[in-house]
Amino acid sequence: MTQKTLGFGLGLALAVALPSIPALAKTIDIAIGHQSMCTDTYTAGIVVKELGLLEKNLPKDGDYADVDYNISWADYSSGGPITNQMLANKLNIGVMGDYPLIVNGAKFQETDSLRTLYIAGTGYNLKGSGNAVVVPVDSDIYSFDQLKGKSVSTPVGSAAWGMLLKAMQDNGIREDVSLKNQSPAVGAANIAAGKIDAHSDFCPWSEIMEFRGTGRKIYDGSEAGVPYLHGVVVRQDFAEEYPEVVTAFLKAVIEAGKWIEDNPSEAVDLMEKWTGVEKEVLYIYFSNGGHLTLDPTIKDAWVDALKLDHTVLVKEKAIPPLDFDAWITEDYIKAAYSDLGMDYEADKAKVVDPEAANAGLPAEIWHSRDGILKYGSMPEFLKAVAEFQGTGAKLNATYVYDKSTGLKLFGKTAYFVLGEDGSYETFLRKPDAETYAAEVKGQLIDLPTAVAAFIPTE
Amino acid sequence: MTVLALGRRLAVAGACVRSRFGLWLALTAGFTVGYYALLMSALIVRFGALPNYATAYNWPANVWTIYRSTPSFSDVPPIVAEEYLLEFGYMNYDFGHGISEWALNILPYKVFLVMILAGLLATSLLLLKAKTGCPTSTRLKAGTATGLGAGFVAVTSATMSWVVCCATPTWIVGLSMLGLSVSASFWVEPAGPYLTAGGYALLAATVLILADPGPSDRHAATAASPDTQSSSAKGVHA
Repeated sequence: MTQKTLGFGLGLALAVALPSIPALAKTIDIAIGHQSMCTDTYTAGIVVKELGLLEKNLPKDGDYADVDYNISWADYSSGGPITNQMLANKLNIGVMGDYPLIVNGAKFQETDSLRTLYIAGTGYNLKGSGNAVVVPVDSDIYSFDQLKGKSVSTPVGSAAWGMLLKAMQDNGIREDVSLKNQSPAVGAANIAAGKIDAHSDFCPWSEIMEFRGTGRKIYDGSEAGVPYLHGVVVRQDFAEEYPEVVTAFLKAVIEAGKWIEDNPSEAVDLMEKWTGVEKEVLYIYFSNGGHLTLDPTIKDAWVDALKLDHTVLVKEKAIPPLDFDAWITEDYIKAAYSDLGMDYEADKAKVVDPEAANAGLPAEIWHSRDGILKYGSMPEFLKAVAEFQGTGAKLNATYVYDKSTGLKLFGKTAYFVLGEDGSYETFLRKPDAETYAAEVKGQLIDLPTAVAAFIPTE
Repeated sequence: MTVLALGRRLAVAGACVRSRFGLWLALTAGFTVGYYALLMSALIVRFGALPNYATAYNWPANVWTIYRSTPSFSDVPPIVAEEYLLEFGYMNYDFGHGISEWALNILPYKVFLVMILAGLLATSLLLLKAKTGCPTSTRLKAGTATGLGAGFVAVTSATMSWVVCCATPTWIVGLSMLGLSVSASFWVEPAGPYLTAGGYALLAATVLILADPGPSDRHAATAASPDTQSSSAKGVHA
């Protein structure tokens, strides 16, 4: 065979084969860092991942017609490592709490060429609930000022640490508390073993300790009065290259929030399987009247809160400056709202204050067989608990509301005040309950005592 | 110290290392491995548990990713410096599906720094061993300076992480674990690079002081060509 013939044969073969070879598809890597042990990040993390909401929303036409997506999720126990992985471009998107978010923005702005953008929230509590200070359940400490001269541990750098600093300043005991740096798990273990006077932590660690019966809240973040929020950051280069992908991610975040709001019981049941956090604990965050308001909008008040947090970080950790105007953008979340046919400005204007929003909400019993049962009055609730206990029925948890703040509480940790008129009110903190009891000449009691009055005599 | 004198001392130190290169290499490797073994032991003793997980990272691929995706080259080194190669830690399964409570992180950049420390330490030891006629007070001063320098570098090169929120492997985690208060740890943290630099400077100065060729060697070094091998043979091992 001559070279000419060989060349002709090869050319013919290529001509026949080329049309049947598919065009080389472009692959877009989307790597997301989330935290399965931080409830307020779930709508941009575990829920989106497990329900496949990102895959559902990713663009598949136009410039993205021939694109393959390679989605990966990495679970972290805190926001710091997520920032480091984003710097190394191993993660494009990260979800974390307010203080780590600020560190994220500042660390990126410290570089010459890399930036992140704060593109959406995941949820908030207006007054700061979610962070709390817990003492061992048998401790004789009932109020924050009693921590003077005591040892308090906290995950330094976290939102709970920021809250603790502010609370110490507010109570004038900044120099009188021995602060220790402890991880959530170590802090929770030390509280269970009574090895530390108090532990300050973020969501949902305080409630985990309460639910397991090892700890008792003495201070809720709402007393600091600074909103507690979580949010989503994205590498700016990624956002500029694939804006539609970022918008798709935020559409998934919005849908995750709606899924939880529409099915809180089912949602916490599944989330328990995905995260290992008890569903009864998750319910206190994600149910109607729960600690967490699922809202991805970026409100002016949130920006102010983040600026306040930044001043704390600058003072305590000497972190770099942060240009908030360059860092925060509403463009992507507005685009997501628009694509979903929703009104961004309307949601942005809405602010949920638990004190007002939760007034009059029914107390709840989580019956292990019958699910969530609601009771319009406290006597009905207590009577039902007494009857269930009489039959030996298993109750997963009970929920009431703090009269002072509107916060949802576990019934077993609440302080009950029985008024002279036979009415009941419930409180998170003992001093608040005592004050109210004195006002109404009532009696301060616990749940078993309150229930005992409703146990059928025959 | 003139440039010539500095060169002579470096030559003496180099000759000393070359003359017992196997031992020097073993000491350098031993110090490096020993350092990380010590860190791991500290974690095990401090937390009362053995590590229950190990993770290996594709360090070269990660460095390549960083290099490709970081527009400004000046941003690359500090990001690469934070890259892990190995991680040994303790996973706490009491909560959720488990969280890494503490870990010893092996970062190649830090390992490199520790190897420099180990190399300087090994050189000092070999020089000290060779200087048999050296007065005790000088040996004591050299030993103290070496220990101090090594201590500074060792403490600031620790790469342990303690999974407090937002914690990354940083040397002050070690201080916190030793019981230093949080505020004091943060107060000390900015001094880390200076302590490291000071530690290396102290070690390097000790090596140079110990590498004094002595009068006869100075003469030999001046008279002869820079044959470091013979200089070493005559001077250091005399």
